[in-house]
Amino acid sequence: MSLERRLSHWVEAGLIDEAAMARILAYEQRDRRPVLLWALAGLGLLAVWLGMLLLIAANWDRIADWLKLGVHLLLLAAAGLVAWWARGQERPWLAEGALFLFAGLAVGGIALQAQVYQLTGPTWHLLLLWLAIAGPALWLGGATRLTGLLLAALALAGPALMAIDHWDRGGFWLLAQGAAMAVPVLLLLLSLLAGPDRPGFRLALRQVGVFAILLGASLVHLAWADALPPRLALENLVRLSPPLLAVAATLWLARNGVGGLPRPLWVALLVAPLLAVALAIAIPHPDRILSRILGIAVYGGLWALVARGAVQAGQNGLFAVAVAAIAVRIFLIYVELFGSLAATGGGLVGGGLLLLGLGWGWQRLVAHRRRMPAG
Amino acid sequence: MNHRLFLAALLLPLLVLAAGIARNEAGRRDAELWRIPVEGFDPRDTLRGLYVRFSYAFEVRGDAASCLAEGGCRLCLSAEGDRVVATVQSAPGQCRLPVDTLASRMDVRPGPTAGGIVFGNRIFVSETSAPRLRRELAGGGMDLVAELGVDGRLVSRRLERR
Repeated sequence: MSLERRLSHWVEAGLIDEAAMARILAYEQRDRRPVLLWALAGLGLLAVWLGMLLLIAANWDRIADWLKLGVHLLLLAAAGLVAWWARGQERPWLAEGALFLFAGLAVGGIALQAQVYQLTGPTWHLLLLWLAIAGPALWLGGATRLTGLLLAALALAGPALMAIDHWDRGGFWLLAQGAAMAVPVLLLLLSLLAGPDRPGFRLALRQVGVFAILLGASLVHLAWADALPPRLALENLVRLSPPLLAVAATLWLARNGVGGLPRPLWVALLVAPLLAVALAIAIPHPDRILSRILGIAVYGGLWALVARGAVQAGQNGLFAVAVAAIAVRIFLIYVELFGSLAATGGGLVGGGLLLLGLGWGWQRLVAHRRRMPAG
Repeated sequence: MNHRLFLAALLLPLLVLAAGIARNEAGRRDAELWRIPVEGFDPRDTLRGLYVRFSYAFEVRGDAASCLAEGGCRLCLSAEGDRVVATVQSAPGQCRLPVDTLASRMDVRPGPTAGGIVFGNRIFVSETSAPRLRRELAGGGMDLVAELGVDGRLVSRRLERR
């Protein structure tokens, strides 16, 4: 129901008068974010961006290479200049649009040079170079969700593709793969450092970081359904050292009051996911029913902690996601029917009790809050 | 300070891309020009435009199977009449300017004949010239004009009729 209709109902019920309704509407209008406008602007910029890439891809062989490269550098410089000038003039729309195009022109430049000089290589080379040259400008100049989402996507894509491409390599590559695994936590860390003067940018980094952390920690429990030999477990232990450092650095910042990450979420979003990943891939285990049940229990425990943290932090959306995640896994048990009917039944009963417990706990917490004196 | 840092961050892509142009142009300056017969077909790359994938139709001599190893190999190019011969370098210093298969991003794979090795690569072409090149490649008799830089990179420049 829209705010206007709800307020009209309240006026009809005699809860507030017309004047109060007008004041509330005026207040809400002032703080309302132009979501539709941002969405349209974002889509428009994305279309311009993709169009530029295709124009470059068309490879105009009647135009001299030096002219193509020169015009591209001029366009890049112009977009950068507009972003810099608009930021100084406090024109956020123009600055954001120019910065978004600037980042697009940066990858266009890499593609253009690849075309002119016949450079080939894996896609992650291009994505990592793009992150290295456009990432700092996005980080320092980004102010809204638009640039925040672009930076988060860049930070995730290149390292992830690199890790997948070289997953079977050892030595240094284990740490490189670990660095890619640490990116979701690093996004959360960056969101703490982003500062309150650019809430949209900070929120985009935090939401993508949290989403990637919880998605990764959830999917990794599938590793319990396969045997993990000691050699692979040891390699995974090395891979986990960069995420461990990232979690430690993020916790240190949070403890020092940087970024305003609610305290009840520290364990749920940082410690518990790392622990869930470590248990699944860094400790040798056989392919047995018990391992699978343990995997589901770790998954359930992780999301139960997230649900508890979300309730304590007053984040109802995250709580709903946690309950949905547990519910989905419970019904997947019924579908996969692993082992025996007894094991499946036991898993379902356990999961159902966990859901009931969550509901009961939530209800108690809400009641406790209501009893607490205001302030 | 933050404003200056932002300006520096905006300059970073410009400098890196300009340095890339300078490095590639410097590599071209001392490059040798080669015409190598090729055979090919043409898939497409959605990011960097159209390209033609081809295999070098040079005669390979020496231990070509060693080129399948992770480190690749080095090929000494020589012209014998109309033919181009690529001899696998078995020890350093056998030719003045060897082709580095890794640096040249060559696609080296076992060929259809027993023990045969195929050396392939690709060249980006324009949208307008792609249909003509497709027809000409199907007809055969195409040469690749390539530059061999001092770093051992064999850079494809264009495809021409023999």
